[in-house]
Amino acid sequence: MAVRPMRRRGTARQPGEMITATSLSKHYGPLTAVDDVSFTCRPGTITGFLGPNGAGKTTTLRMITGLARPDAGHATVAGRPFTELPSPARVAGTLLDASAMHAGRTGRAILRIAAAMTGMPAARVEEVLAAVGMTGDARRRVGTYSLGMRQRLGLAQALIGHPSVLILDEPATGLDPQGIAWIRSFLRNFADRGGTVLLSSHLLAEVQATADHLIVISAGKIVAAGAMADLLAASGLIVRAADPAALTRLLTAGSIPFTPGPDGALRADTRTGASPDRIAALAMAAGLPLTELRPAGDTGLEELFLSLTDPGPDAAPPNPKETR
Amino acid sequence: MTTPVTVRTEGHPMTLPVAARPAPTAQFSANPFDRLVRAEWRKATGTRAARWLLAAVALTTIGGLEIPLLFPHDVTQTRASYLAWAGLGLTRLLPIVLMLAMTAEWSQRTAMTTFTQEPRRGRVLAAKIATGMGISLAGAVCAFGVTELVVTGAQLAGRHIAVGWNWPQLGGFAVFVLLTSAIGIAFGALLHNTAVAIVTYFVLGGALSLLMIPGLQATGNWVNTSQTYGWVLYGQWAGHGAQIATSTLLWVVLPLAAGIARTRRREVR
Repeated sequence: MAVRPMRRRGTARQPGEMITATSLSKHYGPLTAVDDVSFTCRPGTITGFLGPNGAGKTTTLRMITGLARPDAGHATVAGRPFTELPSPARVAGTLLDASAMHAGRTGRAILRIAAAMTGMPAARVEEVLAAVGMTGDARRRVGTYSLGMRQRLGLAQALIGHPSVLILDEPATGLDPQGIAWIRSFLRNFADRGGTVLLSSHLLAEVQATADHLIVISAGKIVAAGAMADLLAASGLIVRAADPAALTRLLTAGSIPFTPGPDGALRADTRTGASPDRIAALAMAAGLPLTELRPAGDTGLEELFLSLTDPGPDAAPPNPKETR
Repeated sequence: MTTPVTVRTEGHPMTLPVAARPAPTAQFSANPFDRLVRAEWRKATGTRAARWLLAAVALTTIGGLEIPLLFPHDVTQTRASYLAWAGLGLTRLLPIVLMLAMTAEWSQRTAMTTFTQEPRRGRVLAAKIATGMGISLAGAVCAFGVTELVVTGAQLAGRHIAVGWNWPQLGGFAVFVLLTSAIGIAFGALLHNTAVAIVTYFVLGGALSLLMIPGLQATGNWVNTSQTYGWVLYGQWAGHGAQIATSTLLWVVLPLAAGIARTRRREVR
């Protein structure tokens, strides 16, 4: 078999980039669904693709998997456009819509078809059924399944060809809390053994608990991307002192930008180099006892998400009189 | 290689059979065609709807054979005639089975899975067409077998049936079944929606049969498949080749070509 060069249109593939999206754009009539979206996913990572409904997550995933044609840009999986992978299911397992299953087939029949398509033995069907905890329900028709069961079956289907990449659109939708905990550890385990995971979600908590890399998309554009830890750090440090006025003077004197934080505390902006070490040292030098100094962490991503997807200061705030 | 790892999370013991490390793409060859056909065969015959329909196809085939049996004075009592009636019975519903197989990916939205397993959509369609033809051929063989049983049984019961036989009639029967099935396949490939395909098939069939009335017969002889494939069924090829080909071009080749183009282009949502 001839070896194809991996270079395409001057884009050299960095080693280890299992998924790349380069300037993907897609329009539906006057609507811009996806606008110049670029990112990469590496082995061993779980990338969370976060955005409100209608932000362009699904369209992007469908362009990556060859189901939709981009108007501009291109995407690769394992170094090739998805549609040029010889047997894509052996490379990348996909679960793009768990409700898109033939209701008239049993769970096992659906997996047998997937096994036939990917050239896997029948024993593999039982393996993946066991892996997602669906062995007991495999004889039932999918029409009787809950959405959570369809998600599990869809994941089994994605896994059937021993892929090293998983591309999952809203995989936790419909799962109960136990199921969410389960899929989280499942994907972590998959990534820890060298797998690459790209999953989308509109739920912050889900992504925050599962992913280590984050891409936030809003109105078709990427508005933030990076390692989860960096993005959380970017949301600042909560600093509190018994004397708030003195703390305000201290940060101002130290040229540390800040904004008011919760309950009289201040939120120091860490993007300009303010670190806990530096604030602590400044406070000590000034003889000002701090009562709290911590990353804005827990709620940080939510604030980040809300601020990034905020329609902007020009948009009218919700009118309380109209809220029922 | 698989390294099973057992993870316990909140009472869910799981073995995770995932690849230990990313495998290079080059080691996987393309999905071979026979594999695609095997998958399509499972899809076409594996649903409850398809099984009921196939059972109904068996019943209409037997029903077709009842006609020469029950009306010995009105229907020619030859082996070829029995076979033709079986063929007519067989093809009442067989195209519906095939339309179902062709449209299910879109109506049930499984195209999303199928086209990520094999993104070369033309190959998937080719496998579906091969499967559909295989099902029709199997149906033709079964109908032939049933006809032989019925004819033999009727003779044993004292019925006089001319057993004279010729190859054009037998070949015509097989080609008739395949062509009629191909209409179903082509409509399904083009229309993508099960209900629309079935309704269009029957409405068009009804409209075309109007061309049997004397004033329109001349047109019907070129476009009405009930007429042209009737010649095929009875092995009356001679002098009708161009008419059979024209109606096939119109109702099989053109919709199938358009359907292939549409399937390759259509966005999966």
